[in-house]
Amino acid sequence: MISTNLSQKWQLTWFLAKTDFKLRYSNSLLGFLWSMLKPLAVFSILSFVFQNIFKLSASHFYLRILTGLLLFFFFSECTTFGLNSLLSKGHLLTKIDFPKWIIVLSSTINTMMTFSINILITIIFFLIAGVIPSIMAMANFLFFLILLLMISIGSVFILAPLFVKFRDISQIWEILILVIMYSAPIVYPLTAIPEQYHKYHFINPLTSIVYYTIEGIFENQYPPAYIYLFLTILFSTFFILSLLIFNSMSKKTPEYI
Amino acid sequence: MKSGKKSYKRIIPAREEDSLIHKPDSSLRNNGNPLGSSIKSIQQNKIVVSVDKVVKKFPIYHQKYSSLKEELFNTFRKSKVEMLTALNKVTFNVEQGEFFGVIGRNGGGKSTLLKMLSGVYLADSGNITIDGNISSFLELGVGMNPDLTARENIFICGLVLGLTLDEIKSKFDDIINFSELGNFVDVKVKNFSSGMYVRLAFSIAIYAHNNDILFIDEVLAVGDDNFKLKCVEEFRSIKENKNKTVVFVSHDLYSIERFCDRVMVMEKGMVKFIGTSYDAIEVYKEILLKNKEI
Repeated sequence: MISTNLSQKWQLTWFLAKTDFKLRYSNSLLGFLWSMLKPLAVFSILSFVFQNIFKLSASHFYLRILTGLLLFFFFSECTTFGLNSLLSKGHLLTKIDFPKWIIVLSSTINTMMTFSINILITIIFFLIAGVIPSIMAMANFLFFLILLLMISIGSVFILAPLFVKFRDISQIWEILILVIMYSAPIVYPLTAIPEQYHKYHFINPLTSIVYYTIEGIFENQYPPAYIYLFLTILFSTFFILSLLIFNSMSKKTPEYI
Repeated sequence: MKSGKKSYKRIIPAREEDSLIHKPDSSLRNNGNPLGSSIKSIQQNKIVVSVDKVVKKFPIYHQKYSSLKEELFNTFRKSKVEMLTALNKVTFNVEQGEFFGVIGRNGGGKSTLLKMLSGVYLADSGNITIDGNISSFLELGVGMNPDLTARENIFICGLVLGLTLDEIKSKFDDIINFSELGNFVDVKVKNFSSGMYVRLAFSIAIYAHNNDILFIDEVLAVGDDNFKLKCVEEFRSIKENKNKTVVFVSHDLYSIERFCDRVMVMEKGMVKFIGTSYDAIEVYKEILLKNKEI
């Protein structure tokens, strides 16, 4: 085992994230502009479909979709990109022993870079529309952002070593991502669903994140304190569990590559 | 094998030597015994790499691609999965400052052994104890990415090998000078010739080992003659540094004979012989000859 201090590991994580980000768009004409264009294109398509065809409407309909998509895109990018992280770095893992979490973490940091660009664009859209969320809504958003990070990184920690062993996971995950997207109130408001089905929607971890964030920003309504507490315990338990799973699963990862 | 043994000069059969090293009471007895003097010399130094009855098996899939479906079906006929024993009760010790060679035919378990020493694979049974920090070079250019420049590759490889950014910065010029790539620092590696690529990879490997124990798998002698000479020179300086311990896997019998203090011969995942490089090469040649006859 290579004994190095934590700062060296952090340097490696950061450097891998940085170079991967650069490499991702290295041979494309528009470069990292794609990281903005793609979500914007999806946003345009979805808002067109749901506004004009399904005739859904609410105050600031577009901004609601944009906020929901911003959160969802982070989750979907993070997991689909992170899923492949261990396998794509297989040439490293089979040749040298170094902490495998570095690879997973660097892939999520990579997505965070895209996310920060997307968040800037969202802010611009908010400013154009003249919507300025309250301080409380911002704090609420920050809280759910941390939950989003936990669920995304936690999922990657479970998916990445699993994918090395079972290559079907990527196909299954592609479908699951669609289920997660359409069962969360991203492109439609939760009020469009009969109330007795709401509890099923909340099985989806993204539902509470998206729903409460949007409610906070646009309606200035916040869940009661016990919900915050419950969600904190739930998501951090999942996160810790994912670390434990990763720790035991990743030991044999190089043998399956 | 039995009749052949007699012709060697100072033969220490692997089994006998191992039993001496692993049982402290018997080694003590031999130290006091004048008859055991030939063994005494290898008992003096601190043991830094100790491998004790290590077994490693790999399942052989007829289809390399593993999938969920296969796994589900295999639960009912799991016993039918064929197992390949890559390492079979491998036992040896390497002392501090020693240059330890490993030779053997392809598929003999050498590379698997080195991967296990490096911590990439876990042992099915047995123990590997390593006393010190290791640097392993199982392949040239681990971590190198053709889409990055030479500069970026030096940083990424250095970081992967366990150096800090400051350490890499201080060694950066040395690496560039050694690789003779001064004019190509900011050129993407994919535009390099294969010789340039290998030179860069080797230079990184040479300068990245800040640790005491090195595991090297056939990376010696690459590039043109000039560069080869520099590499041999570098190897010699590692050998002269008594703090560095090297486990060296190679097919190049010339460099094995030149550098190694002791050599282990592996055959079908088992230790066939451990002894001086001269004797080991004789054993190895005999294995090769025997296989030719069959």
